[in-house]
Amino acid sequence: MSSRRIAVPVFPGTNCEEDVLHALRTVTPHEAELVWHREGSLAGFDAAVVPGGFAHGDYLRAGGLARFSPVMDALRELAESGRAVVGICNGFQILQEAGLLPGAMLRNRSLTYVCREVFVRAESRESPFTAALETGEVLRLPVGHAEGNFHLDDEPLAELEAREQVVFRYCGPDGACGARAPADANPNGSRNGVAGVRNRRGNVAALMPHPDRAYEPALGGADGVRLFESLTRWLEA
Amino acid sequence: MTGGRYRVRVEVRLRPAIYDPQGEAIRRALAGAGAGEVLSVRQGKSFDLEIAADSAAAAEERAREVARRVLASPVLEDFEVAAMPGGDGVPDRVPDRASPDGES
Repeated sequence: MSSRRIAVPVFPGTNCEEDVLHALRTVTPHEAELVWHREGSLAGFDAAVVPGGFAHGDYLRAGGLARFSPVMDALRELAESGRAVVGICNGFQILQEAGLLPGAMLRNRSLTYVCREVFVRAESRESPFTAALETGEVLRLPVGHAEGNFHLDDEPLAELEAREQVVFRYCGPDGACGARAPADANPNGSRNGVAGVRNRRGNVAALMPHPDRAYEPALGGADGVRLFESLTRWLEA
Repeated sequence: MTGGRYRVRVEVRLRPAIYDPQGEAIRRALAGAGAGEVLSVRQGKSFDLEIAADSAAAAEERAREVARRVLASPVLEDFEVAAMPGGDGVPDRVPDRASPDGES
């Protein structure tokens, strides 16, 4: 497998960059490098993984101020050139706030910071984080967030579903979603149980759960490897 | 520059159709504290801006732009803009702030 260069943008308050870096270096054949948010160019990179944390303290809104960092212009260029841009947790919120992904996150319905394992079902293979998955495949991944309650109004939500832009959905251990899933399957109240989405073009995607906290058995689970395998598959396509 | 400083308040709130878990939790707490007549609570954010502009109307217009682009989430929130007392446009009415923290 040939090696690609993956950027991991770091904002003040990002705190999962080492996890992402280590995961990429451990389970993919690619080079991964941290890129400070003041950097205005991602020339030479083939992809970017926006890690979790609390970018700019999550002031204003989660991920709300990150879009004014110079690296966001570079990420937008990367996305517009068709390269892979994926986000995890706060990285998801950042990509939404930047307008690269649809929807926005409300405070969790429970009002609590939710930190536990959840099950998600892969709903579409058309994204850099799902390219190696089977549709319907169930993964066990940890979440840790206070604002992961995905919202879109009825009409854009229906459009999102019709275009198969939902890539992960919270589910029970057997993959059951919605009313057939256990009551606690959806950890935050997300509409339609949305855990991850992609853009229309299919090269930008993100999810709230943390594959970067589940990529070897010592971490309590290794299902996150499937997402990094997907990224590799996507980069080699 | 010509013109002066105007004070403008921007109120940001979740759109009415969107469930507000914080507001609802506060309502329940109020009911528990003997204020059951409070039927609903919507929590929002308030921003007090000082804007350099040629007129109060221009300052409000600028505040509206800033609210649309930055202060309010286009997916979740509405906002209202209102000129504040004290915003008579007198230059240097409000002392200059120290420059913001050096770039991080």
